[in-house]
Amino acid sequence: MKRWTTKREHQIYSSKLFQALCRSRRTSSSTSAKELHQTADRVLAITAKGTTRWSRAILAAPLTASTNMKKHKKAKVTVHTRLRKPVVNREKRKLPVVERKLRALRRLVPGCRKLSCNNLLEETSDYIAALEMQVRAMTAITEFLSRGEAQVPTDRLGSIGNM
Amino acid sequence: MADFSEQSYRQPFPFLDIDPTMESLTQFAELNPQSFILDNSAFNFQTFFPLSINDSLFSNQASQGETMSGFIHNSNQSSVSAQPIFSAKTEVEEISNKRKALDILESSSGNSSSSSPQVSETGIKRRNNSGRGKRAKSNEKEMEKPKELVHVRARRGQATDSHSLAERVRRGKINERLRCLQDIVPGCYKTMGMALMLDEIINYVQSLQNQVEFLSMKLTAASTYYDFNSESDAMERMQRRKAEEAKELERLMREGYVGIGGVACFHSSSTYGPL
Repeated sequence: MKRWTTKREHQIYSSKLFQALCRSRRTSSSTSAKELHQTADRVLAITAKGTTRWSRAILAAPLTASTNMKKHKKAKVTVHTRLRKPVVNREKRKLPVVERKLRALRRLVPGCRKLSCNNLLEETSDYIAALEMQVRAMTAITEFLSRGEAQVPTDRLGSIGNM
Repeated sequence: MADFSEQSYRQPFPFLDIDPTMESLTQFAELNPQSFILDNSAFNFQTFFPLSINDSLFSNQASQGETMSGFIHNSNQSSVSAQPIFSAKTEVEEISNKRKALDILESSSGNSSSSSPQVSETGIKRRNNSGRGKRAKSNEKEMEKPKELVHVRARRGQATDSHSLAERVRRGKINERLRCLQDIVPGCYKTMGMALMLDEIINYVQSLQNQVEFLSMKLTAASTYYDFNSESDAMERMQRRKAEEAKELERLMREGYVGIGGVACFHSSSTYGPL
Protein backbone atom coordinates (compact mmCIF):
# COMPACT_ATOMS: atom_id res chain seq x y z
CA MET A 1 0.00 0.00 0.00
CA LYS A 2 2.80 2.39 0.76
CA ARG A 3 4.67 1.67 -2.46
CA TRP A 4 1.92 3.26 -4.55
CA THR A 5 2.57 6.64 -2.99
CA THR A 6 6.25 6.96 -3.86
CA LYS A 7 7.35 9.19 -6.71
CA ARG A 8 9.52 6.47 -8.15
CA GLU A 9 6.55 4.15 -8.69
CA HIS A 10 4.67 7.04 -10.21
CA GLN A 11 7.50 7.67 -12.68
CA ILE A 12 7.85 4.01 -13.52
CA TYR A 13 4.15 3.68 -14.22
CA SER A 14 3.82 6.84 -16.25
CA SER A 15 6.84 6.00 -18.39
CA LYS A 16 5.58 2.48 -19.05
CA LEU A 17 2.14 3.78 -19.88
CA PHE A 18 3.55 6.31 -22.27
CA GLN A 19 5.64 3.68 -24.02
CA ALA A 20 2.62 1.40 -24.32
CA LEU A 21 0.65 4.30 -25.70
CA CYS A 22 3.31 5.02 -28.34
CA ARG A 23 3.46 1.38 -29.31
CA SER A 24 -0.32 1.07 -29.65
CA ARG A 25 -0.41 4.28 -31.66
CA ARG A 26 2.20 3.02 -34.06
CA THR A 27 0.62 -0.39 -34.62
CA SER A 28 -3.05 0.60 -34.93
CA SER A 29 -4.06 4.09 -35.94
CA SER A 30 -7.46 3.92 -34.27
CA THR A 31 -7.39 3.63 -30.51
CA SER A 32 -10.63 3.66 -28.57
CA ALA A 33 -10.98 4.80 -25.02
CA LYS A 34 -11.82 1.28 -23.92
CA GLU A 35 -8.59 -0.08 -25.39
CA LEU A 36 -6.61 2.62 -23.68
CA HIS A 37 -8.37 1.86 -20.41
CA GLN A 38 -7.46 -1.79 -20.73
CA THR A 39 -3.84 -1.09 -21.56
CA ALA A 40 -3.62 1.33 -18.65
CA ASP A 41 -5.01 -1.31 -16.28
CA ARG A 42 -2.63 -3.91 -17.60
CA VAL A 43 0.37 -1.65 -17.18
CA LEU A 44 -0.79 -0.96 -13.65
CA ALA A 45 -1.03 -4.69 -12.95
CA ILE A 46 2.47 -5.18 -14.35
CA THR A 47 3.79 -2.46 -12.08
CA ALA A 48 2.29 -4.34 -9.15
CA LYS A 49 4.73 -7.18 -9.84
CA GLY A 50 2.20 -9.91 -9.24
CA THR A 51 2.00 -9.69 -5.48
CA THR A 52 -1.70 -8.91 -5.34
CA ARG A 53 -4.67 -10.91 -6.52
CA TRP A 54 -6.33 -8.13 -8.48
CA SER A 55 -3.18 -7.54 -10.53
CA ARG A 56 -2.94 -11.20 -11.44
CA ALA A 57 -6.62 -11.28 -12.36
CA ILE A 58 -6.25 -8.28 -14.65
CA LEU A 59 -3.32 -9.86 -16.45
CA ALA A 60 -4.90 -13.30 -16.66
CA ALA A 61 -8.12 -12.42 -18.48
CA PRO A 62 -7.80 -9.17 -20.41
CA LEU A 63 -9.29 -9.96 -23.80
CA THR A 64 -12.85 -11.02 -22.88
CA ALA A 65 -15.79 -8.66 -23.36
CA SER A 66 -16.61 -8.54 -19.66
CA THR A 67 -19.72 -6.34 -19.90
CA ASN A 68 -21.73 -8.94 -21.84
CA MET A 69 -20.89 -11.67 -19.36
CA LYS A 70 -21.98 -9.55 -16.45
CA LYS A 71 -25.35 -8.84 -17.96
CA HIS A 72 -26.04 -12.53 -18.44
CA LYS A 73 -25.22 -13.26 -14.83
CA LYS A 74 -27.49 -10.55 -13.57
CA ALA A 75 -30.46 -11.82 -15.59
CA LYS A 76 -30.12 -15.31 -14.17
CA VAL A 77 -30.07 -14.09 -10.63
CA THR A 78 -33.26 -12.08 -10.96
CA VAL A 79 -35.19 -15.01 -12.42
CA HIS A 80 -34.33 -17.23 -9.50
CA THR A 81 -35.53 -14.76 -6.91
CA ARG A 82 -38.87 -14.31 -8.62
CA LEU A 83 -39.60 -18.04 -8.79
CA ARG A 84 -38.96 -18.51 -5.10
CA LYS A 85 -41.93 -18.16 -2.79
CA PRO A 86 -41.75 -15.02 -0.66
CA VAL A 87 -41.79 -17.05 2.56
CA VAL A 88 -38.49 -15.74 3.82
CA ASN A 89 -38.96 -12.70 5.98
CA ARG A 90 -37.73 -9.38 4.83
CA GLU A 91 -35.86 -9.15 8.11
CA LYS A 92 -33.67 -12.09 7.22
CA ARG A 93 -32.94 -10.62 3.82
CA LYS A 94 -31.87 -7.38 5.39
CA LEU A 95 -29.87 -8.86 8.26
CA PRO A 96 -26.71 -9.74 6.31
CA VAL A 97 -26.33 -6.09 5.35
CA VAL A 98 -22.61 -6.33 5.69
CA GLU A 99 -22.60 -9.44 3.53
CA ARG A 100 -24.41 -7.67 0.71
CA LYS A 101 -21.95 -4.82 0.83
CA LEU A 102 -19.05 -7.22 0.79
CA ARG A 103 -20.58 -8.85 -2.25
CA ALA A 104 -20.77 -5.46 -3.99
CA LEU A 105 -17.15 -4.83 -3.11
CA ARG A 106 -16.19 -8.22 -4.49
CA ARG A 107 -17.77 -7.26 -7.79
CA LEU A 108 -15.79 -4.04 -7.92
CA VAL A 109 -12.33 -5.33 -7.19
CA PRO A 110 -11.14 -7.60 -9.99
CA GLY A 111 -10.31 -11.18 -9.13
CA CYS A 112 -11.74 -11.16 -5.64
CA ARG A 113 -15.01 -12.98 -6.20
CA LYS A 114 -14.53 -15.69 -3.63
CA LEU A 115 -12.23 -14.00 -1.18
CA SER A 116 -12.85 -13.91 2.54
CA CYS A 117 -13.70 -10.63 4.22
CA ASN A 118 -10.25 -10.32 5.72
CA ASN A 119 -8.30 -10.76 2.48
CA LEU A 120 -10.84 -8.75 0.56
CA LEU A 121 -10.21 -5.70 2.71
CA GLU A 122 -6.49 -6.07 2.24
CA GLU A 123 -6.84 -6.33 -1.54
CA THR A 124 -9.18 -3.35 -1.52
CA SER A 125 -6.71 -1.10 0.25
CA ASP A 126 -3.97 -2.01 -2.21
CA TYR A 127 -6.33 -1.60 -5.15
CA ILE A 128 -7.46 1.84 -3.99
CA ALA A 129 -3.86 3.01 -3.58
CA ALA A 130 -3.01 1.72 -7.05
CA LEU A 131 -6.05 3.39 -8.60
CA GLU A 132 -5.12 6.71 -6.99
CA MET A 133 -1.67 6.45 -8.51
CA GLN A 134 -3.16 5.56 -11.86
CA VAL A 135 -5.36 8.67 -11.75
CA ARG A 136 -2.41 10.88 -10.88
CA ALA A 137 -0.23 9.43 -13.63
CA MET A 138 -2.91 9.65 -16.29
CA THR A 139 -3.70 13.27 -15.42
CA ALA A 140 -0.01 14.07 -15.66
CA ILE A 141 0.30 12.43 -19.06
CA THR A 142 -2.85 14.10 -20.35
CA GLU A 143 -1.55 17.43 -19.18
CA PHE A 144 1.79 16.79 -20.84
CA LEU A 145 0.18 15.83 -24.12
CA SER A 146 -2.30 18.67 -24.16
CA ARG A 147 0.36 21.16 -23.20
CA GLY A 148 2.69 19.73 -25.80
CA GLU A 149 0.21 20.32 -28.59
CA ALA A 150 -0.68 23.79 -27.32
CA GLN A 151 2.97 24.71 -26.98
CA VAL A 152 4.29 23.96 -30.41
CA PRO A 153 2.68 26.93 -32.18
CA THR A 154 3.14 29.37 -29.25
CA ASP A 155 6.79 28.47 -28.65
CA ARG A 156 7.94 29.97 -31.91
CA LEU A 157 5.91 33.08 -31.34
CA GLY A 158 7.23 33.40 -27.81
CA SER A 159 10.83 33.09 -28.86
CA ILE A 160 10.32 35.60 -31.66
CA GLY A 161 8.58 38.00 -29.30
CA ASN A 162 11.44 37.89 -26.79
CA MET A 163 14.11 38.35 -29.31
CA MET B 1 8.75 12.65 51.44
CA ALA B 2 11.77 11.26 53.26
CA ASP B 3 9.81 11.23 56.50
CA PHE B 4 7.12 9.22 54.89
CA SER B 5 9.57 6.66 53.62
CA GLU B 6 11.05 6.30 57.08
CA GLN B 7 7.66 5.83 58.55
CA SER B 8 6.73 3.39 55.84
CA TYR B 9 9.67 1.25 56.78
CA ARG B 10 8.61 1.37 60.40
CA GLN B 11 5.08 0.27 59.65
CA PRO B 12 5.76 -3.28 58.43
CA PHE B 13 7.15 -4.22 61.84
CA PRO B 14 3.71 -4.76 63.36
CA PHE B 15 3.36 -7.46 60.73
CA LEU B 16 5.91 -9.53 62.58
CA ASP B 17 3.53 -9.95 65.50
CA ILE B 18 0.94 -11.62 63.32
CA ASP B 19 3.69 -13.41 61.37
CA PRO B 20 3.56 -16.94 62.72
CA THR B 21 -0.20 -17.12 62.45
CA MET B 22 -0.14 -15.81 58.90
CA GLU B 23 2.55 -18.19 57.78
CA SER B 24 0.71 -21.13 59.19
CA LEU B 25 -2.43 -19.92 57.50
CA THR B 26 -0.69 -19.64 54.13
CA GLN B 27 0.79 -23.11 54.46
CA PHE B 28 -2.65 -24.38 55.32
CA ALA B 29 -3.97 -22.56 52.27
CA GLU B 30 -1.58 -24.28 49.93
CA LEU B 31 -2.86 -27.65 51.07
CA ASN B 32 -6.54 -26.79 50.96
CA PRO B 33 -7.11 -24.20 48.25
CA GLN B 34 -10.86 -24.35 48.20
CA SER B 35 -11.37 -23.80 51.86
CA PHE B 36 -8.85 -21.02 51.64
CA ILE B 37 -10.92 -19.27 49.04
CA LEU B 38 -13.94 -19.46 51.29
CA ASP B 39 -11.97 -18.15 54.21
CA ASN B 40 -10.43 -15.48 52.06
CA SER B 41 -12.77 -12.84 53.31
CA ALA B 42 -11.80 -13.42 56.93
CA PHE B 43 -8.14 -13.68 55.97
CA ASN B 44 -8.20 -10.38 54.18
CA PHE B 45 -9.93 -8.80 57.13
CA GLN B 46 -6.96 -9.61 59.29
CA THR B 47 -4.35 -8.49 56.80
CA PHE B 48 -5.98 -5.21 56.03
CA PHE B 49 -6.05 -4.09 59.61
CA PRO B 50 -2.39 -3.03 59.78
CA LEU B 51 -2.65 -1.40 56.41
CA SER B 52 -5.34 0.95 57.64
CA ILE B 53 -2.77 2.68 59.81
CA ASN B 54 -0.62 3.34 56.81
CA ASP B 55 -3.60 4.53 54.85
CA SER B 56 -4.15 7.38 57.25
CA LEU B 57 -0.55 8.44 56.76
CA PHE B 58 -0.88 8.51 53.03
CA SER B 59 -4.36 9.95 52.97
CA ASN B 60 -3.13 13.42 52.17
CA GLN B 61 -1.10 12.44 49.17
CA ALA B 62 -2.60 12.80 45.75
CA SER B 63 -1.15 9.75 44.07
CA GLN B 64 -2.34 7.40 46.70
CA GLY B 65 -2.71 4.33 44.57
CA GLU B 66 0.84 4.55 43.33
CA THR B 67 2.32 5.18 46.73
CA MET B 68 0.32 2.32 48.18
CA SER B 69 1.63 -0.07 45.56
CA GLY B 70 5.09 1.40 45.97
CA PHE B 71 4.85 0.91 49.68
CA ILE B 72 3.69 -2.63 49.17
CA HIS B 73 6.72 -3.21 46.95
CA ASN B 74 9.01 -1.74 49.57
CA SER B 75 7.40 -3.80 52.24
CA ASN B 76 7.81 -6.86 50.06
CA GLN B 77 11.49 -6.27 49.79
CA SER B 78 12.05 -5.17 53.33
CA SER B 79 9.91 -7.58 55.29
CA VAL B 80 9.43 -11.26 54.82
CA SER B 81 6.00 -11.17 56.35
CA ALA B 82 4.39 -9.24 53.54
CA GLN B 83 5.58 -11.74 50.97
CA PRO B 84 3.56 -14.76 52.03
CA ILE B 85 0.42 -12.65 51.94
CA PHE B 86 0.93 -11.69 48.35
CA SER B 87 2.26 -15.03 47.29
CA ALA B 88 -0.77 -16.67 48.82
CA LYS B 89 -3.02 -14.28 47.06
CA THR B 90 -1.36 -14.87 43.69
CA GLU B 91 -1.48 -18.59 44.28
CA VAL B 92 -5.15 -18.29 44.95
CA GLU B 93 -5.56 -16.52 41.65
CA GLU B 94 -3.55 -19.15 39.84
CA ILE B 95 -5.53 -21.97 41.35
CA SER B 96 -8.81 -20.31 40.52
CA ASN B 97 -7.63 -19.80 36.97
CA LYS B 98 -6.64 -23.40 36.65
CA ARG B 99 -10.18 -24.41 37.46
CA LYS B 100 -11.55 -21.75 35.08
CA ALA B 101 -13.03 -20.11 38.17
CA LEU B 102 -12.87 -16.51 37.16
CA ASP B 103 -16.28 -16.11 38.75
CA ILE B 104 -14.97 -17.35 42.05
CA LEU B 105 -12.15 -14.85 41.87
CA GLU B 106 -14.53 -12.02 41.19
CA SER B 107 -16.90 -13.12 43.90
CA SER B 108 -14.08 -13.47 46.41
CA SER B 109 -12.89 -10.01 45.57
CA GLY B 110 -16.41 -8.80 45.89
CA ASN B 111 -16.71 -10.50 49.27
CA SER B 112 -13.46 -9.08 50.48
CA SER B 113 -14.30 -5.59 49.40
CA SER B 114 -17.82 -5.76 50.81
CA SER B 115 -17.09 -7.63 54.02
CA SER B 116 -14.62 -5.09 55.27
CA PRO B 117 -16.53 -1.88 55.37
CA GLN B 118 -15.36 -0.99 58.82
CA VAL B 119 -11.70 -0.99 57.87
CA SER B 120 -10.73 1.87 55.58
CA GLU B 121 -12.50 1.09 52.34
CA THR B 122 -10.55 3.32 50.05
CA GLY B 123 -7.25 1.68 50.97
CA ILE B 124 -8.60 -1.80 50.44
CA LYS B 125 -10.29 -1.03 47.19
CA ARG B 126 -7.22 0.74 45.89
CA ARG B 127 -5.01 -2.06 47.00
CA ASN B 128 -7.41 -4.50 45.41
CA ASN B 129 -7.45 -2.59 42.19
CA SER B 130 -3.75 -1.95 42.04
CA GLY B 131 -2.78 -5.40 43.26
CA ARG B 132 -5.35 -7.29 41.29
CA GLY B 133 -5.24 -5.01 38.34
CA LYS B 134 -1.52 -5.40 37.97
CA ARG B 135 -1.18 -8.95 39.17
CA ALA B 136 -4.46 -10.59 38.33
CA LYS B 137 -4.38 -9.56 34.74
CA SER B 138 -0.76 -10.57 34.32
CA ASN B 139 -1.48 -13.90 35.99
CA GLU B 140 -4.45 -14.49 33.78
CA LYS B 141 -2.37 -13.73 30.73
CA GLU B 142 0.43 -15.98 31.89
CA MET B 143 -1.89 -18.83 32.69
CA GLU B 144 -3.71 -18.53 29.41
CA LYS B 145 -0.70 -18.40 27.13
CA PRO B 146 0.57 -21.93 27.63
CA LYS B 147 -2.94 -23.33 27.25
CA GLU B 148 -3.86 -21.83 23.89
CA LEU B 149 -1.44 -21.52 21.01
CA VAL B 150 -3.04 -18.31 19.83
CA HIS B 151 -1.55 -15.35 21.63
CA VAL B 152 -4.59 -13.38 22.61
CA ARG B 153 -5.07 -11.08 25.52
CA ALA B 154 -8.06 -12.50 27.34
CA ARG B 155 -9.58 -9.70 29.31
CA ARG B 156 -11.39 -10.03 32.58
CA GLY B 157 -14.96 -11.22 32.33
CA GLN B 158 -14.67 -12.49 28.75
CA ALA B 159 -15.19 -16.06 27.65
CA THR B 160 -12.10 -18.15 27.26
CA ASP B 161 -13.12 -21.06 25.02
CA SER B 162 -11.23 -21.54 21.81
CA HIS B 163 -14.15 -20.57 19.60
CA SER B 164 -14.67 -17.15 21.07
CA LEU B 165 -10.93 -16.57 21.16
CA ALA B 166 -10.60 -17.44 17.50
CA GLU B 167 -13.51 -15.16 16.72
CA ARG B 168 -11.89 -12.39 18.67
CA VAL B 169 -8.66 -12.87 16.72
CA ARG B 170 -10.56 -12.77 13.45
CA ARG B 171 -12.44 -9.67 14.46
CA GLY B 172 -9.20 -8.05 15.52
CA LYS B 173 -7.65 -8.68 12.12
CA ILE B 174 -10.69 -7.35 10.29
CA ASN B 175 -10.73 -4.24 12.44
CA GLU B 176 -7.07 -3.65 11.74
CA ARG B 177 -7.67 -3.84 8.00
CA LEU B 178 -10.64 -1.54 8.34
CA ARG B 179 -8.48 0.99 10.16
CA CYS B 180 -5.96 0.94 7.32
CA LEU B 181 -8.76 1.56 4.89
CA GLN B 182 -10.05 4.39 7.04
CA ASP B 183 -6.78 6.22 6.59
CA ILE B 184 -6.90 5.83 2.84
CA VAL B 185 -10.53 6.51 2.10
CA PRO B 186 -11.52 10.11 2.71
CA GLY B 187 -14.66 10.85 4.66
CA CYS B 188 -14.45 7.96 7.08
CA TYR B 189 -14.86 8.63 10.75
CA LYS B 190 -13.68 6.36 13.49
CA THR B 191 -17.16 6.17 14.93
CA MET B 192 -18.55 4.57 11.80
CA GLY B 193 -19.55 0.96 11.90
CA MET B 194 -18.68 -1.72 9.41
CA ALA B 195 -21.68 -1.14 7.14
CA LEU B 196 -21.13 2.60 6.77
CA MET B 197 -17.44 2.12 6.22
CA LEU B 198 -18.08 -0.40 3.47
CA ASP B 199 -20.52 2.03 1.90
CA GLU B 200 -17.86 4.69 1.78
CA ILE B 201 -15.28 2.28 0.44
CA ILE B 202 -17.57 1.09 -2.33
CA ASN B 203 -18.41 4.65 -3.31
CA TYR B 204 -14.77 5.63 -3.36
CA VAL B 205 -13.72 2.67 -5.48
CA GLN B 206 -16.53 3.38 -7.92
CA SER B 207 -15.58 7.04 -8.15
CA LEU B 208 -11.93 6.15 -8.77
CA GLN B 209 -12.87 3.73 -11.51
CA ASN B 210 -15.08 6.37 -13.13
CA GLN B 211 -12.23 8.84 -12.93
CA VAL B 212 -9.91 6.41 -14.67
CA GLU B 213 -12.47 5.82 -17.41
CA PHE B 214 -12.97 9.54 -17.92
CA LEU B 215 -9.23 10.13 -18.01
CA SER B 216 -8.74 7.37 -20.56
CA MET B 217 -11.24 9.08 -22.84
CA LYS B 218 -9.44 12.37 -22.33
CA LEU B 219 -6.09 10.74 -23.04
CA THR B 220 -7.27 9.20 -26.29
CA ALA B 221 -8.57 12.59 -27.35
CA ALA B 222 -5.33 14.30 -26.42
CA SER B 223 -3.17 11.65 -28.02
CA THR B 224 -4.85 11.88 -31.43
CA TYR B 225 -3.34 15.30 -31.95
CA TYR B 226 0.06 14.23 -30.78
CA ASP B 227 2.73 13.10 -33.19
CA PHE B 228 4.03 9.92 -31.65
CA ASN B 229 6.56 9.04 -34.33
CA SER B 230 8.80 11.92 -33.37
CA GLU B 231 8.59 11.07 -29.68
CA SER B 232 11.65 8.92 -29.18
CA ASP B 233 12.89 10.65 -26.07
CA ALA B 234 9.51 11.87 -24.89
CA MET B 235 9.85 10.43 -21.41
CA GLU B 236 13.09 12.26 -20.83
CA ARG B 237 11.45 15.45 -21.87
CA MET B 238 8.48 14.84 -19.65
CA GLN B 239 10.60 14.08 -16.63
CA ARG B 240 12.85 17.02 -17.32
CA ARG B 241 9.84 19.27 -17.62
CA LYS B 242 8.39 17.99 -14.36
CA ALA B 243 11.70 18.47 -12.57
CA GLU B 244 11.97 21.99 -13.89
CA GLU B 245 8.49 22.85 -12.80
CA ALA B 246 9.13 21.43 -9.38
CA LYS B 247 12.33 23.48 -9.06
CA GLU B 248 10.61 26.65 -10.15
CA LEU B 249 7.82 26.11 -7.72
CA GLU B 250 10.34 25.65 -4.92
CA ARG B 251 12.17 28.80 -5.90
CA LEU B 252 8.98 30.77 -5.98
CA MET B 253 7.93 29.44 -2.61
CA ARG B 254 11.26 30.43 -1.12
CA GLU B 255 11.08 33.91 -2.50
CA GLY B 256 7.63 34.24 -1.06
CA TYR B 257 5.62 34.55 -4.22
CA VAL B 258 3.18 31.97 -3.11
CA GLY B 259 0.04 33.92 -3.84
CA ILE B 260 -1.26 35.17 -7.11
CA GLY B 261 2.16 36.48 -8.06
CA GLY B 262 3.54 33.00 -7.87
CA VAL B 263 0.88 31.62 -10.13
CA ALA B 264 1.46 34.39 -12.68
CA CYS B 265 5.22 33.77 -12.69
CA PHE B 266 4.60 30.08 -13.04
CA HIS B 267 2.38 30.64 -16.03
CA SER B 268 4.94 32.82 -17.77
CA SER B 269 7.70 30.33 -17.15
CA SER B 270 5.59 27.44 -18.33
CA THR B 271 4.93 28.97 -21.71
CA TYR B 272 8.66 28.97 -22.49
CA GLY B 273 8.83 25.26 -21.76
CA PRO B 274 11.80 22.99 -22.39
CA LEU B 275 13.73 24.50 -25.26
